[in-house]
Amino acid sequence: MHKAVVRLGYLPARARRGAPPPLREKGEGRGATALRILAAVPGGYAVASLATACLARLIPGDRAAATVTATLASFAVLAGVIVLSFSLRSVLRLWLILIAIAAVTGGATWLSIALGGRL
Amino acid sequence: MAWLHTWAGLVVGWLLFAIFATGSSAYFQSEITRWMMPEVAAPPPDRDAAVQNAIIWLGRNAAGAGDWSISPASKRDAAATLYWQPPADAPAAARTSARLDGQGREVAARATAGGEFLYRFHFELHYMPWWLGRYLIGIAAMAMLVAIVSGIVTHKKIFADFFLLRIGKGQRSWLDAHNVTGVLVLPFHLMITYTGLVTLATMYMPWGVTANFTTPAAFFEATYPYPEPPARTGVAAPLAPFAPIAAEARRIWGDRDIGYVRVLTPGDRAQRIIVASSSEDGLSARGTQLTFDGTTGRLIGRSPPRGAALETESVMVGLHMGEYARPVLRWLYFLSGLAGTAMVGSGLVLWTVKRRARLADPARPHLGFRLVETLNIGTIAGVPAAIATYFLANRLLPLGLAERGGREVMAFFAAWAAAMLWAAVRPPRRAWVELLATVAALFALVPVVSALTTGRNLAASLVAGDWVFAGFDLVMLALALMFGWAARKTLHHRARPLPGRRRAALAEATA
Repeated sequence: MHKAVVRLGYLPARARRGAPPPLREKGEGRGATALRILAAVPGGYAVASLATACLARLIPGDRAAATVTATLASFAVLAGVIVLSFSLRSVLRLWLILIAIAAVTGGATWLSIALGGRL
Repeated sequence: MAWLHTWAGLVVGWLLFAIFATGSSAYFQSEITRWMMPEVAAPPPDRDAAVQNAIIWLGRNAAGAGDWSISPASKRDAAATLYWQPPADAPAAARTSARLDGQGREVAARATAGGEFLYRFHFELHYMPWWLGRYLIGIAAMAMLVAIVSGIVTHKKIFADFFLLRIGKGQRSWLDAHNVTGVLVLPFHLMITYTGLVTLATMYMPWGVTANFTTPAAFFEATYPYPEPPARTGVAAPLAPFAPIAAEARRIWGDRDIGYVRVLTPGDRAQRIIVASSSEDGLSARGTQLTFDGTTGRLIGRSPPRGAALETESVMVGLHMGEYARPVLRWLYFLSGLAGTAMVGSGLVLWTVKRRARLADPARPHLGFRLVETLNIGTIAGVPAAIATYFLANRLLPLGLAERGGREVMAFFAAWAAAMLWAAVRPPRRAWVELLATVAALFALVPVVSALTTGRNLAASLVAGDWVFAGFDLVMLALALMFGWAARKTLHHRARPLPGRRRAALAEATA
């Protein structure tokens, strides 16, 4: 409560009463926003693709059923990554998390295909 | 997150509006096609008789074909649709399809693109390769999914705002309208968006298939196996009667009727009849298939049972298409689709309403604002104008016109382009009022022009209990009233300037 009052104190008295709030929170430059968009769109699709391939390989049982299950889930994964790209506070952490997921799922897929089976 | 919601919604908003509007109409695709072929007046035929009639017709007109496909009229169609694969030596322009009425006669109706054009547009667009259209739709659908998820997160008071609609309060009202149409039918929006992506899932996300199969064909063979066409014996044989085959199929399925029927190598002793269960009798869109020996009529195979994953996929596709829906549920689907259209539209308007107050000089907005506003007007009024014009073209174009169906489609896009142009050259307020009033007039004209050109007016349809024609006319009138009301509201609406106190504050804050 106290904090909020103090922060409002920086604004001119009349603006405090009437001016609509700014449309965008300040503090993040264009560069950071561009990095988030890059993480969300090409990054999100890449991570979702690797996760789908990985799940399709690793879900036990019939390979067609595993493929369908993984593909059905893929859009939820993609939506999740996109939302994450704009909700994590640190852009660096965001990219580290995406690279980690991509490395794990991509590595597991590669290993699974190299070891053979299915295909 | 609010930023994500705003921009994910805006960049594909105009496309989404067109997808929702035409997709909603697709729940009445069969009814629209019946209305656009007013010459076909036959009652829905008995299915077995329809298939038997189709087999007789194909035997006379497509004897050498490699295979025949028969879609007997569904519960809502007026005519059965037949397709066939012409023999290899047939000329390239040989016919490959026909429509038969309940008596097994070829339908003599006006050429029309029918309800199918609106249905196809909602997932393939038009005047571009089908794959490009499908990718663009997929991108829009994915952005929609993100807008929904981020919208839920942005919307902290989601439950309280369920019941909140403040009318006549400028920006607040637009926000409430956006929330009411978004939140009230939220489960529908989430379902329809996700299942829409699922209908084309392996096209958008093929990497699961790539990881497990050498070719996509191998995947489809494993998931939806289809009987191979038998080797021809060269010995002619008549096709077994269909009624006993239909009876056997119904006995096996129990709760499902016959859907489409295929005949492989018809006329040869090795012929096969494949009967699929109808997608109208259950949630699952993909029926099961039975294979019969076409000469003896004996059951020789059936599609393997589906596991949980495939059944889930099949139900998701079924939920999206709503073929199982009986009338009440079908109307709910349609109304939910309209609510989705309204949600996208109000979201687009909200973008401009929110920013107009902040413009340095509202009379001369910057280019980005002007562009969004023009696209808003040209789409929110333009798409309904295009749909109404499409229906009018069906009644007004000369019956003997070459490429008549294509001309109807041209009328659709010409109307949309005209609305866009009008929105670009007129002052925005005027453009809104003029175009909304035009849309109202166009929708109101549809039943009138239809009655004058076909002799089937609303009163006669109501008396005759012809619910396809009566329902169509009533929906047109309801849309006319709605757009007329919107035009009136816009005309009498005075852009409320911010209260003097707030304006002064804003000037001071931005100075």
